[in-house]
Amino acid sequence: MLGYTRRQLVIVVTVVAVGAGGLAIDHWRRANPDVVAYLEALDRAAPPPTAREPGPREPMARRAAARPREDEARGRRAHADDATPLDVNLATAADFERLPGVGPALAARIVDVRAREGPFGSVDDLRRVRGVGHATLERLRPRLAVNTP
Amino acid sequence: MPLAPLAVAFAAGIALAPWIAPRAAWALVAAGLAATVLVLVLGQAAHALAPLLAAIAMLGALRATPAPLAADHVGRLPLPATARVEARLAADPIAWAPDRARLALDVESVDGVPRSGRISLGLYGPPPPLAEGQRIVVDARLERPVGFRDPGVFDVAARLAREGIHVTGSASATRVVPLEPPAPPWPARVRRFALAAFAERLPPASAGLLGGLVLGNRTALPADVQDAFRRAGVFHVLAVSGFNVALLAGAVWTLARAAGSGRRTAATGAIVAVLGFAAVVGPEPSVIRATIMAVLVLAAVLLEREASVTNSLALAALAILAARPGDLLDPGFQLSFAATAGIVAAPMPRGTMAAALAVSLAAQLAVLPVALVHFNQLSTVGIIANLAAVPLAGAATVLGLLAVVAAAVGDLAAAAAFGAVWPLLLLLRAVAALAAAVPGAVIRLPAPGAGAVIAYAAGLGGALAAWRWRARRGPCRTLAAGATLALLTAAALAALPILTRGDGRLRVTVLDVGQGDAIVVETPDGRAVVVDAGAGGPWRLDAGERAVAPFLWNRGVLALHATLTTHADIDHAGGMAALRRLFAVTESWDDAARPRSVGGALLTPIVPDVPGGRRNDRATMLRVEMGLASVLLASDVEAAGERALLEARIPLGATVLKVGHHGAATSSTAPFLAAVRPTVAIVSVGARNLYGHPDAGTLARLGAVGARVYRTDRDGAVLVETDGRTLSVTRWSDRSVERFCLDPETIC
Repeated sequence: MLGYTRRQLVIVVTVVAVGAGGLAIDHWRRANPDVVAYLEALDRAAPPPTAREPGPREPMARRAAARPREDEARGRRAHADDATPLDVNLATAADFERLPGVGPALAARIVDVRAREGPFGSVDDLRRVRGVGHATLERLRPRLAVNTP
Repeated sequence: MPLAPLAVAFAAGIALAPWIAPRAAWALVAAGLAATVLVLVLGQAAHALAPLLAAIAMLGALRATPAPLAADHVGRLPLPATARVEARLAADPIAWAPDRARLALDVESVDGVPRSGRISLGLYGPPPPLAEGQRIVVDARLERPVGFRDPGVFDVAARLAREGIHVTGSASATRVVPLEPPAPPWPARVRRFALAAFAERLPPASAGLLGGLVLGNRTALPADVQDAFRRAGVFHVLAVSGFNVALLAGAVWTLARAAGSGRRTAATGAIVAVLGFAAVVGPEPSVIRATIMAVLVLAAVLLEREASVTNSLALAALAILAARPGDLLDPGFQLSFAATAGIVAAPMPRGTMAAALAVSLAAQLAVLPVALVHFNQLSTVGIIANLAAVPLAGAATVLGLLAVVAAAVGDLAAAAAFGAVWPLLLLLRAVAALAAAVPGAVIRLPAPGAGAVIAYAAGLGGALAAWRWRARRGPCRTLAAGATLALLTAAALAALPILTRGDGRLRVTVLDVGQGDAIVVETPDGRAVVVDAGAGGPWRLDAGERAVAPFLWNRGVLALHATLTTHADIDHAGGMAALRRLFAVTESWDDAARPRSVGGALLTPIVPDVPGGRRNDRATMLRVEMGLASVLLASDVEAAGERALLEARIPLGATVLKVGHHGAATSSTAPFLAAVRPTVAIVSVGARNLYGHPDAGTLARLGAVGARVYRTDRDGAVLVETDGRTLSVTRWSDRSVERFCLDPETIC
């Protein structure tokens, strides 16, 4: 048969069939993005099957209710850009270090003062920390906030 | 020449290395070789093997004995320190969370002084574009690695030491300054190109899955999908393994042969493809194993000889262990070799379906002890799920490899290849999700000890031998009986921790979870109550999942009687979500503070009444009593809370005090300690924490009331055990035990 072996024909047919099928599916995929999104979400919509009463999410939810701002702050750190103000009473040393001009030592001191002497009443209250002067404060002010009582 | 005994002897030597002095090993090597020569000279070739194997085992032990650090090694620096480090990236950065990356750095200088050695550096914040081989300078905080030192819990510091990493660091990503533009070597460029093509042409979760299937790169795969694969027992398809290498070699071979090239050309092409693939995906033990085996089999084709699969497996093991002896304890190494050995050794029935089932069964039986030892997991649906998942994963992997080539060729080819692979990815995810949804898909069990594993291996070996000799009645029966006995012994030994629970003693374990609290109370009847579960959640190491859960499983605790979250701080409550996901929990004590009698112990939650007080002062304390022994877990309660409790005249006296708020200055006031009068005080605190805990004044106050102080940052987990009259306290870091007598009337 035109010099093809049976094996070669099988391979050619497979390659052509997969290629054509792939093109068809690709075409369909582009035409029906909403169906694709639905299919993609199928195994992700349900909570993990380990879910038991009261479920893995509930303690998180309860905690979120108790400390809404903390979770908000954490989400902010992960997703939003650095332009969102940082709550000085909830931020970790790592958060502070990401501010311009704040190094590991100063970040550690801020957290240390907060732990030792209690939360900051306002952004200006940061002056309590050794190494935070007028200039630093003015530079950081647009990126800081105090939402906690 | 059969290599398997040599490989086993070498591996045994590596495993025994910690107990063998190097001098003794050298002497045994010399003695073993001399004995072998002597026996051979005397013409007794049959007896030469034993001394030879002993000598090889000792060589393994010597290879595994760590050499002293070089004089300029970064591990010789006084640590912790903040320093300017110049280094070269040993690998591409690993982004393990959206804002977290890990770099393997080969150090060139520290603070301008030339230094050598590799460090692992954690970056927080969005990292700059970095590539393997690039030189950077970074202001980092350098530390010695500290893992969780708890019974039955994986110690990350030990693993790093096996990889030759004695220093870790952390730095803000903004502090990394590249000294040269990124110029990744070609394998890294191919890997990046492939991952970028996947991300561009597939929906996110499917792209992440294909990255795992083809390259073993799971960073883009959502955690819940990974979890489903793990529960379904098909997680191995997401790691690069011999499976990928075999598929690639097979695909190249088939295509080359179909194109009319000879066996030698096809074999050469397949060898080149396999070596290139290994370079791209990186030096995982499973990849090296599969590459060595594939090259040996293909080389046998080139040389027109018969290849022995067992021998190539043994040679691969010898090569990997000689180069990196620490890999012997690596789960990836163990899973890869166990699964391959199981498949090679098992008898194969005729018929495609039966053979597929046999392969799946053989692999699952062989990896069962490995999965139990490292992950406490027994997959019940894996054998069936793999029958569907492996062919799908295989087809998707081949198409994914083609898609990488197609993406380089052109748009149309890429559209066809990605269009064809996408439905396979969806099907594979569906299979994993369905299998994971089966109740009891994964059973968590304590890790079996060495005795149980050896008995199990002997049982499997006996069963195989019985099958081989099934034609001969007598030996077959004996072997079958022996194998059954060995397997029953293994099961009994493995179940021992579960069967021996509830021995009438009360145990309170303050776990080492870094900075945070995680305490497990085991009541005299064997039930377990978890009080706080350490830090957790995304972007940090989840202590609930990594420390508390494995500790419980290895203790034989498979379900929790109750959990108590003392307050909502992340270092106490963070790990609790993972715990509630991994365990069935009967009761939650978070809301109702009333005394409960559990199996002979009385557990009383105490909530300080401080109106408008801070979160720490409203934290729940727990008092645990049995006989003359009592334990007060003081959570994070500070001075105001302590005062409120004293004013309310709540009885506070306790033999053991879990010191409040990690030993901070603001807790453990003198009047409070005078009321508690602890004999034993335990401070749950992280090494090098940023808060300066524990406070020197607090430690002095504890000493002033006569308490013996234990600290999790120095002692690892602190285990308290009591029968109601005597008390013993164990420091897990050095396993030292101290005993205290509670009853003045008796001598103990």
